[in-house]
Amino acid sequence: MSIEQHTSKRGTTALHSGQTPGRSDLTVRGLIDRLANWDMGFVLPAVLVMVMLVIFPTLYALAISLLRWHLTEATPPTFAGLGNYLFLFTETRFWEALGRTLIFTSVSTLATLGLGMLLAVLLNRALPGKNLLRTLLIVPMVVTPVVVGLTWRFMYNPELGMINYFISTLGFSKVAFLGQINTSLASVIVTDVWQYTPFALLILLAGLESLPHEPFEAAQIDGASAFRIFWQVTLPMLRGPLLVTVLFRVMFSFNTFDTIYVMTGGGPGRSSETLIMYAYRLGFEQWHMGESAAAALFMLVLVTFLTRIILRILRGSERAA
Amino acid sequence: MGRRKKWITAVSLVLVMGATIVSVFPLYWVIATSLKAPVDVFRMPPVWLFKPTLENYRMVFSSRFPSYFLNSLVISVGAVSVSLVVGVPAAYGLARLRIPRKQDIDFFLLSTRMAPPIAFIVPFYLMFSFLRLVDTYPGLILVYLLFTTAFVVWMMRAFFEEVNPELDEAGWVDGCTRWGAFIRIALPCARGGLIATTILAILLTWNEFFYALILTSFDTKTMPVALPGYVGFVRLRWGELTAAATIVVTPVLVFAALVQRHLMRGLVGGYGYK
Amino acid sequence: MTSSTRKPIHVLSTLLLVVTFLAACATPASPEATTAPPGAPTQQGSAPTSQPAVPLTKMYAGETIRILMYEQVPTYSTLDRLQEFEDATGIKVESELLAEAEMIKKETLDFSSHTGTYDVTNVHFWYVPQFANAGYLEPLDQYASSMSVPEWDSMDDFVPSYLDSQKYEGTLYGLPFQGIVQILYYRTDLIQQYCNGQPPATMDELTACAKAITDAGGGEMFGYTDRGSADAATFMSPAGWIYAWGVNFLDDQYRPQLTTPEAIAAMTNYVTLLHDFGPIGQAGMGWAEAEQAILNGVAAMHVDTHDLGPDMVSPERSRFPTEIGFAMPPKQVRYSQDFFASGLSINADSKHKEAAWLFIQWATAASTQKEQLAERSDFTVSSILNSDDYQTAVPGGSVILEAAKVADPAYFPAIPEFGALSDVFSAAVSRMVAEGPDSVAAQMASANEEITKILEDAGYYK
Repeated sequence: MSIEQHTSKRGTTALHSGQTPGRSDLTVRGLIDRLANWDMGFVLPAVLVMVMLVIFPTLYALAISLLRWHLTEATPPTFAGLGNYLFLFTETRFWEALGRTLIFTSVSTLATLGLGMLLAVLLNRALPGKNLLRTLLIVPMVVTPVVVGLTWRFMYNPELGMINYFISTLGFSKVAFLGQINTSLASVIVTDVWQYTPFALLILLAGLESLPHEPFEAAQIDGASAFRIFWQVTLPMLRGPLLVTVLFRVMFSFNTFDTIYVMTGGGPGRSSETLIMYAYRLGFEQWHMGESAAAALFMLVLVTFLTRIILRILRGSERAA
Repeated sequence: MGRRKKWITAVSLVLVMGATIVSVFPLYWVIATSLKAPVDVFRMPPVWLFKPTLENYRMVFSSRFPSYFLNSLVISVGAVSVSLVVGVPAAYGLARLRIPRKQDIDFFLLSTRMAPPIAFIVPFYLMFSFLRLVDTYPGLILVYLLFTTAFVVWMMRAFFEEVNPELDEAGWVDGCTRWGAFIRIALPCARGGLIATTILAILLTWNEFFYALILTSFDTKTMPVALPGYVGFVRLRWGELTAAATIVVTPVLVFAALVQRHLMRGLVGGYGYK
Repeated sequence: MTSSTRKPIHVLSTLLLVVTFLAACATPASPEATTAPPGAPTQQGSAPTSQPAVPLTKMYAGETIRILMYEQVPTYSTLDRLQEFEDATGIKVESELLAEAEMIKKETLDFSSHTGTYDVTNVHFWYVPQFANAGYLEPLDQYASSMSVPEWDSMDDFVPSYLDSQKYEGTLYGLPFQGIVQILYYRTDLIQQYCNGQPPATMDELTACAKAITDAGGGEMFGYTDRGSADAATFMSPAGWIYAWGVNFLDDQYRPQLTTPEAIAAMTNYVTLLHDFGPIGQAGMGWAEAEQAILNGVAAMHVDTHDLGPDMVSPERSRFPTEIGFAMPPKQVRYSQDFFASGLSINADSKHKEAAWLFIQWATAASTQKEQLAERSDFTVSSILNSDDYQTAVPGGSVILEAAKVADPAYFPAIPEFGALSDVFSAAVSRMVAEGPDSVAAQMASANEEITKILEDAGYYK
């Protein structure tokens, strides 16, 4: 049995492992207390819900991915084994889409992380109008993605949009952001960063604001520079919120669809087509359900893999600390 | 020393305000457009001063849009409430208590958030048709539970981990049950995180499009599904689109603004051992 | 009695009164609702002037049908008049409206899962082959012959190309709900100034005119605009352009014709117009931006579907409402095409097929369409298109009539796999528009190859 030490106002006592606090006699009160001490009970409802809602659809999607099921054909679906996956892996279009997705995800995540962190640090000071500013900074995330896509599409437009209007008043020539092959992906990334920096900001700021003061005071007394304080005191303590931010940003940007769909449709050519767009096109324009499901499941596996890696990096060092 | 601090504050303020303008400008454009007559919308050079009209709002309100608003409200509030009830204790459990196979449960919950909606649309549609849950409030709430719960668990777990464990344990020693310590000690300490999580969770469901499109119909259509309706093959009704978009955005912004204050208040008392 | 028992008694007695009152009022209900099934005698042994048999329109009174259509003007103007239908038939209609792309997804999902949620759906003409082939749609010929309501029967009135677009292998699967043809929109003042006052009639004239305007435009004004973005909606315009050069997208053997000299010439022309003489960023512009460019005065000419007319001449939307002219689309060997039709079809899994039939007949009837003259221009019956009212009420009315006469759905590969074709071709088009006329040959070749592979895979070349 392990023994944990606890210090409270009443002095130090030892709690043997397995011994739960509270009453444990057999009265009704005791039973309630037993329930209130049931550790698994905290987690069980969530797990049950998830199992119910995830297992069946995933299995079903897996089943579809093994079929040759073209809704354009009158014949019923036939078994195709790994044929759909083979199809994907031999398609250049698939690999190009994968590459773009990886670029999109990494750039967008890093940018939102950086900007979010910067803004969080700035907002953490006692600035005038802080509350108002904080509410306004959330705005990009609040607007419905479809509207974001449409608004930015027109903002980027050389003739009708504000961005090029400002560019031309400054004396530069207009740029067709969404109409050029070399700028379409970058433009779409900018919109994504704009839209989700508030996400990082909100989490990191909440994290910063709940940090205790003492370590900072101690470091300042020790004469450390602001930069060093940030790097060696703040960041390590923010590990939790940082992890959440990175994880969810990666997951969201991997699945970004609405905005890209509305802004470029994956074009010009295929220059902004990410994996999810490709999977969508396969399933809902070509009506090749099997290939689409295979692409989507591949995405799921990839994201799972990526998040595992991220967890290992960020969590693993936490344990070492 | 004081002057240097003032200088830093000034620069910070400028940077933040710059970011704010960039953040807000598109929304300003949306709101302004919703008040413009159609011919002014894309006038170049842009029309800064114009005669506002409420015609677009009138048209939106006299359509079925108000019922979509109600649907969005019911579904979002319902899904978020249930996911908080189910998810926050789970987060606490994973952060503090001894749970077998913690890492696995952890990851499983996270993985539910990863799947691209495309993969699950067809299975869910078939499953729900069979269970007659299509176009019902419980149906869509159930689906939203799927990804909101995972989100809530992960977010709150990070915040619970920030709370000093000694506080809980002191509570246990003093006679609190696990649940008691959770409600009375850990939760108040993590209030800031709870509010941030709630805001984000509401956002996730309020703006969700894909599942809502497939699983709602006459009775439960939500606002995001209605928005692309203004973008037809022939007519892009900007005025109504932006008016509708403004209506969609406003409640969440107001909610976030109101709750921000509580964020501040909750955090001041959040240290627990000052 | 105490006050606490008095109140419930009051409530109960009031309720009782209300209920009896309602019951009393409800009894003089429509006799048709309780009529015997069609054909059965309604009264026994009375005089010959007995109650007439149930009219066709009322036979399905009391049923409810659910329809799925998309958000657009003809849908609104038709559904605004729903009361007429409900009064005439006693059938209740529940309508769901979605954005066009979303409606297509939803209806396809509904069809393929055979849930029969919707009784009537709005089907684009290019989906008819796919849905009919898969057995999703109810064949309508028998309804047209045996269940036709005389005042709503417009079979002889439908414009032939619109009606034909609803057929698959000779069987009718939908009634044409809206029909659209392609016309040329142009700025009369600019044409006057730079193109000798005559709107271009051929492709060469179009190119020359566009060049003249762009050259004089100094980067602010461009001669021509059209669809160039990579989304599915772009497909129609370039496909119609290829048609103008005398070649169809697919030949009789379903082989893509993109590498023929005609197709290459057509696309070179299209790309030149957009890349050299169109506004900056054409490769990212869809129909919405193209239309806006005309409305804003940035572009001078645009070939597109005829229903943009009202927007163009409305001072609320256009900056040059009085300077817009309408003409036939340019011709090379043939006139270019943008033909589009959508119809109302009955779901094969519907449980209210007869009621659904009554609805679609009413919704597409000439009489019903006629009432909407002030609101829309995409009617499907010749009687309206030929009428003077139409000519005067609709901007470009006479041109539309002319264009309808040469309308030809053949420009469009209306096969089930067109989604895949559109995916490939639209991407290629936006790429060509972005890169310029020199990229045409290579892009067309690779698109042709991809499309051949898709069709081969789908079993077209056995």
